[in-house]
Amino acid sequence: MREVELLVVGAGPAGLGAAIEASRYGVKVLLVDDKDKPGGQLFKQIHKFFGSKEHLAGTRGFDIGLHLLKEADSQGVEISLQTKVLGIMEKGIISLLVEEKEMKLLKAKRIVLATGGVEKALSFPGWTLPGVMSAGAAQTLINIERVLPGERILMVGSGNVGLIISYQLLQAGADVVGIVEAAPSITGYLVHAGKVMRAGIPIYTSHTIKEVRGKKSVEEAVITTLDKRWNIIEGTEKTVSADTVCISVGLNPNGQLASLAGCEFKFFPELGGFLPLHDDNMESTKKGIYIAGDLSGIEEANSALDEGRLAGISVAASLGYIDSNRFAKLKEDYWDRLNKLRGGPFGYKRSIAKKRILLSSQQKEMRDQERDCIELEENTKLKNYKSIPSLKEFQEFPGYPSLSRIKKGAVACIECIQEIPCDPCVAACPFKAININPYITDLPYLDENKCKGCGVCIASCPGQAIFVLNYNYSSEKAAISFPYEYLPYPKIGGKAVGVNRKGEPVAEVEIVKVDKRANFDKTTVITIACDKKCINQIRFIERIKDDA
Amino acid sequence: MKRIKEHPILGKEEKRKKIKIVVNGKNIFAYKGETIAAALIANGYRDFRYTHRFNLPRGFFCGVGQCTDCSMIVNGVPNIRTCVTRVEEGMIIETQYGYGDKDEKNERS
Repeated sequence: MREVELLVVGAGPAGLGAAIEASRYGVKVLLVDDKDKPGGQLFKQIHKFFGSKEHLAGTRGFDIGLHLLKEADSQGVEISLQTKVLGIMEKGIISLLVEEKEMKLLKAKRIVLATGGVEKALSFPGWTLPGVMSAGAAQTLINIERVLPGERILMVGSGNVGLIISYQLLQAGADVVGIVEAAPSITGYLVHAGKVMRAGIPIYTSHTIKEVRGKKSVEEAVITTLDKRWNIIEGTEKTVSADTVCISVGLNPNGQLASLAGCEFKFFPELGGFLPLHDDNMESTKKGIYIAGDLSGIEEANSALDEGRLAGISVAASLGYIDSNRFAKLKEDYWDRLNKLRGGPFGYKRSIAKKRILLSSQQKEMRDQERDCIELEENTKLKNYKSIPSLKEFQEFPGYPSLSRIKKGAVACIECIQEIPCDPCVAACPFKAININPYITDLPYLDENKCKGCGVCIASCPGQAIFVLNYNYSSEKAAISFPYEYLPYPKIGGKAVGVNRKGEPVAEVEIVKVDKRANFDKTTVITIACDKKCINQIRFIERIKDDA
Repeated sequence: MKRIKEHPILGKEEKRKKIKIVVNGKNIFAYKGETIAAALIANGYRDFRYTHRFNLPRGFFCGVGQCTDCSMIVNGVPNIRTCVTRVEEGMIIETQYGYGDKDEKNERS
C-alpha cells in the first residue's frame, strides 16, 4: 500500500492552499480531486476578486487559479485527478476510486478535507422542469463551456452569488429579466447590485418564486410579493416570461467525507449549516484530520485559501517540519488575515460563529454566547438597502467628492459605502489620494485635493464603484468615466443613452473615449460627455445590443 | 441555445476540434473537450430524461455531477451523468426513460 504524509481532498482554493503550504515546508503531499481538472470553482470566476494585496485582490478568479496551480507545481505537489475518496478508515487508510474504475488503498499520516460546499436547492411547483438550474450550473455553462443556458433568465436570490452570476449572464449575452429576493433588502454587496441595476436589471425584494410553468422546459415563472413574515400575499402574482430560472439561495458545507471519517458536527447557520468542529489549527475532532474552506463554513475564496494555508502549516508543524516558535508566528499571521477578511458588518456574524466553533471544539461551556449576541447587535450596523441609495446618501460617505471640488475639474467619485474586505484602489492611485485605514474593511476615503482625476482607480475596483467626474470637460459639457465590461463596445463619437444608478434613462450622451488599456485587464473605461447638470446622476449607458 | 462566440473577458471562442455525436438517432456537432450536457444545450436539447413513475422531464440542474438529473443513456449505458462526461467522436446519446430499460423506452416514446 502506498503511503503519503499528507492527503489533501479537493483541489479548490482551500485544498491547493493546504497542499502548497505543507509542501513548502517539506511534507510529501498527494492532492486528489474527483473532477478531471484542478481549481475547484475558481476557473469559472471571471470577475475581479476582493481582498488585499496578499490575496491578489483585483485579479480575476481564473488568473488566481492559474497562479495557484503554478505555485503547487513549483512546490512539487502531486495532483491526482478523477480520483474519488470512497472511504476514510481507521489508522489513516483511505480507499480511492480512480477514473471510475480502479480501486486503490492508500495510507496517509494526515488528511486535509477541503471538499467545499454544495449549492442549496429551492423547491416550488415546477422546480424540476428542465431550465430550472442552480446558479453555479449556469455559471459553468457560460464561463467554462461557453454555452448560454437560455435567453431570458430569472435569478432567485440576491446574495453575492446571485448578483455576480446575473452580471456574468449579461456579459455572456443573455437577458436577465429580474432578480427575486425573499428578504426585504438586497442581501449581497451593494456594489455587485449596482452593476446589475445600472444595466437595467430589476431586483424584486420581498418577493419569491411561486411556480414555474412549461411543457417540456421552463416557459414562464410566477413571482409574488411576501409580507413582513415572509408569507405570500395572495393576489400579488406576476407572470414573468423566462426560459431559465437560476437558483442561488446559498450553500451548505459538503460534509459527507468528514462525517464518514467520524468528525463531530455542529449546526452553525451563519456558516451554512452543519459543519465539522475544528480548533485553531483547523484540526477536526478526529486527530490527524484537518478541514478547510467551505467545508469549515461557507465563506468566499480568499478565506478558503487562507484557511487551507493554515491547515497546511499546521500539518507541517505536527509532522515536525516547522518548529513551534516559527509555527506560532505563521499561525498568528494567518489568523490575522482571516480576522481581517471577516471584519466589517458582513463578516461579523461569521467571525462570531468561528469563535464558537473554536470554543466548542475545546469542549468549553459557551457561557459567552449571550454576551456575543449583544456584541453582535452592536457591531453589525449593516444598513439594509432595498435598492440603490439616493445621491444624498452617497454624498454622505468619504469617497464622494464635495460639490466645490467637483466644480474644479476631474476627480474620482467612489461610490463604495459598505464595509467590505477590499482595497485595490489604494494601491492603484499614483497620487496616494485614496486611503483605507486601519482595516481593510474600512470605507475608502478620498483625499480630494490630492486626486488628479486620472482614472486609474476605475478599472482597479472589483466592485466597479469608482467613477471620474470632469465638470470642466468643455464650456457646456461635463464628462463622466465608468467601467464597462460588455460587448460590443460603444464607438467614439457615437450617441448613447446615459442612465442613472438604477439603469433609468437620464439624457442622451456622446461617447468621447473608450480606454482599453492592457493593464485594466479587460475592464474598458468609457468616457461620455453630457449636460453639466447630469454629473451626479449619470453613471452608465444603456448597453448596446448587438443586432448582427 | 447559443454558443458564446465572443466574450468581453474570455475573448474569442477558442478553435476546437469539431466532432460528431448521435443524439436520439440524429447527427449533431459538438466540440472536443466539452461535456455532453453543454453540447446538447448548445443544440437546443433540454429534456434529458423522463422519470420512472410520473414520466416527467428532467434536465441539467447542478452541473457538478451531484444531482443526477441530467442522466442519459450513453453508448448503451444508462445513468451516465452528462454534466461531467465529455463528448467523444461518434458517441451515441439517448434520452433516458425511467431507469433506462429498453422496454420502458418502447412504452413511452
